[in-house]
Amino acid sequence: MTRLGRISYVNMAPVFYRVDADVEEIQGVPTDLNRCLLAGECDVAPISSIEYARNADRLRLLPRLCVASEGAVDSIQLVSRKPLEQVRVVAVTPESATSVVLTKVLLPEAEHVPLGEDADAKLLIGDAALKSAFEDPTPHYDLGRLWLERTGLPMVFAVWACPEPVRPGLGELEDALVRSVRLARAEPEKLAHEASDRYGYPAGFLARYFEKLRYRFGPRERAGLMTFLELARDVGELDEVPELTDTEAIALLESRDLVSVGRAAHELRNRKSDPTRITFIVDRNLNYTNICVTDCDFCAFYRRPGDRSEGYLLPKAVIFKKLEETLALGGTGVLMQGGHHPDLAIDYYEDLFRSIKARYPIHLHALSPPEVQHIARRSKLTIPQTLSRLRDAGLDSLPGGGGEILVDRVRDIIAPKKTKADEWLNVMRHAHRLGMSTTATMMYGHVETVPERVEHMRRVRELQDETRGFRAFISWTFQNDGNRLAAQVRPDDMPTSFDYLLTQAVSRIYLDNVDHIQSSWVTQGLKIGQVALGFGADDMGSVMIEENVVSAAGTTHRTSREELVHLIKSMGKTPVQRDTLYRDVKVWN
Amino acid sequence: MALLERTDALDEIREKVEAGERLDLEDGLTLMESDDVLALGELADRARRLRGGGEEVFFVQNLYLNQTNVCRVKCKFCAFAVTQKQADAYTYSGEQLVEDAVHQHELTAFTEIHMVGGETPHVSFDYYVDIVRQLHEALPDVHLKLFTASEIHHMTKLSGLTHEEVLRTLRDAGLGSLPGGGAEIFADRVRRLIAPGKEHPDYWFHTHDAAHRLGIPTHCTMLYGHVENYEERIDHLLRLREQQDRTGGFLAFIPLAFHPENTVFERRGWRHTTGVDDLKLIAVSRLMLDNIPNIKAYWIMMGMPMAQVALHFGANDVQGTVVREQIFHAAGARTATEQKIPELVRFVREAGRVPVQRDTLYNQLRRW
Repeated sequence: MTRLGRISYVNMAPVFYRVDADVEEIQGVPTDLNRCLLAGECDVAPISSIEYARNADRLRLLPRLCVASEGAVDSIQLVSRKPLEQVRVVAVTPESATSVVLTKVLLPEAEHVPLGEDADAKLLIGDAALKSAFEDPTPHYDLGRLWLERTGLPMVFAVWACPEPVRPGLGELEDALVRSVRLARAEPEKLAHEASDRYGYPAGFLARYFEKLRYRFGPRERAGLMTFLELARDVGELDEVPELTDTEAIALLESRDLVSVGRAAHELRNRKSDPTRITFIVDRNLNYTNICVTDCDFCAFYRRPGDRSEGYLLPKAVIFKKLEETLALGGTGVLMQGGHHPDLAIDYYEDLFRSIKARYPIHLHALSPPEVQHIARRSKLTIPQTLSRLRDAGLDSLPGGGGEILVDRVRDIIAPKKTKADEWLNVMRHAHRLGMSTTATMMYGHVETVPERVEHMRRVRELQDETRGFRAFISWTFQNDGNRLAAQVRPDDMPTSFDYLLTQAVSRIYLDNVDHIQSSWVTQGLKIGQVALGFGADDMGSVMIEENVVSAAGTTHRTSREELVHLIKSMGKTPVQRDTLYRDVKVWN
Repeated sequence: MALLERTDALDEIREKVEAGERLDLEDGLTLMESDDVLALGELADRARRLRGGGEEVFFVQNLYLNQTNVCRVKCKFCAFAVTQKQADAYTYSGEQLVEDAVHQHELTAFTEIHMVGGETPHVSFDYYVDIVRQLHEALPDVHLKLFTASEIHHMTKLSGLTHEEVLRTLRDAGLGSLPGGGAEIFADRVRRLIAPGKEHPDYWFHTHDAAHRLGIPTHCTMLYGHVENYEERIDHLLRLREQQDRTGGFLAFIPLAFHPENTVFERRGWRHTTGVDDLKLIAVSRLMLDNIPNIKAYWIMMGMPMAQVALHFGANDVQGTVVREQIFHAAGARTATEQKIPELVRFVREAGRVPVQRDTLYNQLRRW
């Protein structure tokens, strides 16, 4: 028989309303149940959010259940005669670890003492808090409400966890608990009356109380939990925040819960960068050559060596002219990428970069990892040697191009001759070590699976944990005109705007260690490109004075600085032109 | 420094929505002024479900016809109308329309003809009655959704009949319902600016009121994104809501974003509505119009990518497969004019909803 922990608080009533499963209930206050669970004396139990996080490596979460509130929760109250900003000492109950940490997160300056000692305020939880709100005229501050005001997210007080190794049959038990909540929601009056008999509160009061609680562990609840754990870490209550697992990311990508996932991503974005601003850059794509030996199926831009009619290598004078135009138009950088030209070795690039840097104050964001690898091979140098010579010649940072999907199974199909996943990451690793920051990209919606998208993001997140060198993550959907890959992707499988927004939002949630997410108006158009700013992105990318590669694949959206400013302003945000390194260039106040 | 994004203003509205209370002008303005478009979307979807909406997304297979492009009214937002003297002016006869429709019907089994046109002074009322009768006789199973309120009003001028008499005559000839065009924005200030030659909005309501009382269902629209302000938008929605309270004959509301291309506004540097504007308007329409069952994300106007996203912002209809559309495309709409059913089905499914082909009256014909 499954041993199921039950917190002896009234907030559990809906989950235990009608549990249609063979279980042995183990009752206890949260701290007791936490201990039971970790000792393996219980197969599944609600556990306070902070205790789960402290033991995340030994526990697995039920994916659909939690106890949360969006706003006031009633059962966690800070009772204080003083205004909150003057509270210096809080008396806390030892019963609920999460409430204690939440108090610390919300009032980081206050010292904690045991309940009963002298204090400016006292923390009450569970039934004591509900009773006190009835009986004590002292001002009560609802911590659920304070949390919502602080973060805009629901507060997750508890999750359901089981100790590893997981006992079989818990999926069915979770189904039974979810069904119980649903039934309880369908019969609110009956629930309130039964709970009233058992716990002794007026039924009407309980009915209102249950309405405030949420038991579904949805995307916003997950974002709320992660935010809480990050803040707990910041005040020293937690060593490490458990990351979103691949399984969770896949579940989010497969959900159709667009708006909830989007709002969760948006709240996380607001914590990473200023919620009042949206940035963009004015720069130019400069494709110095289209001659390439790599033959990628998704590319409509390149020409084979020897193509005398359409192949080109821009002369220096033309490059200089384009850079002058860029600067004249208020641009700060150039994104220089090109084909893998068989004749160009490192001396060509060193000379070109030096001559550019000698003439123009422009940020040189150039050479994606496959190009660096090509140059290294062509010049018989190692990757670090190549990168340090290029850096010394003036290369400022590397674009994230050529990332595609960082899974070799996929790369072998879409770009068999191109840099493998490990090689791509290795170029980035060495660039980061040399102090050059870079971006990371993902091009999806072709032959990859959903788990492979997540694997791509995981590879980026892992390298970022190691080097902290990625400034931004940019994802876009495969464009299917004029390239051979189009023949391998059925028109019915082409990614839609819905998929784009969802994937971008999940990338914001999953890549918790990357500062910026760019939306891709170039591939999605300006409408979806703008809408994407509500789905986790904080940057609109580049005005792109010139763009050749995506437009070769059939997509030709155009914009100007004025238009981006208009789009950003119309969302009530401050447009900020930035440089490649995200420093302000111009702010439209 | 990360600032808190306040959502308090929406809390009160959320409570009203949950309690099934009506939103008022102030609420509407609060919604329009909110920058939290995803919160609006969530609220609108919640309202849709609370009012009985499910997973279904509707579309219809229809044929677009324009009987004439000759128009006496000079609406400034229109790139379609011409005068009789212009070389590209046309007025199709009943025979021509029937021939075209019957031919198209063999290719695509549409269930509805949507036909509107200019207000040409060069025909008589009989012309209209004849084309309705001929289309109805040729394709008796096809629902005829014909003529905006402006055209009905124009027919009263041509015939000397009342609106009710015109509608009754057309109904008896085979008219099934009225489309929602000609509403633009009801506020006088706006109409004077964009469509000074058009009749007073009271006639629009008078026409729809009369149609509903005769058992002819209609649609309603709003053309937004030009000179109107938020208050005028909400006022427009509230007037529609009041009418619906009185007669209940509106099947659907369709917000139409203004396209400035090829109109005088383009030269004045007018811009398209933004993606966020479009989604916000869908959401706010759903929230305000608590008595109109269907909100349409008109993909011809918005583009399919936006329409797909709008399904999570309160919309439950994407219009459907359209054979030929000319008016918005004259004004630069760049969407493909035919959306094939399998593609439509895919977009709806991808959004996690159930595609349902409907007839004009929202009877389900096919479910995927």
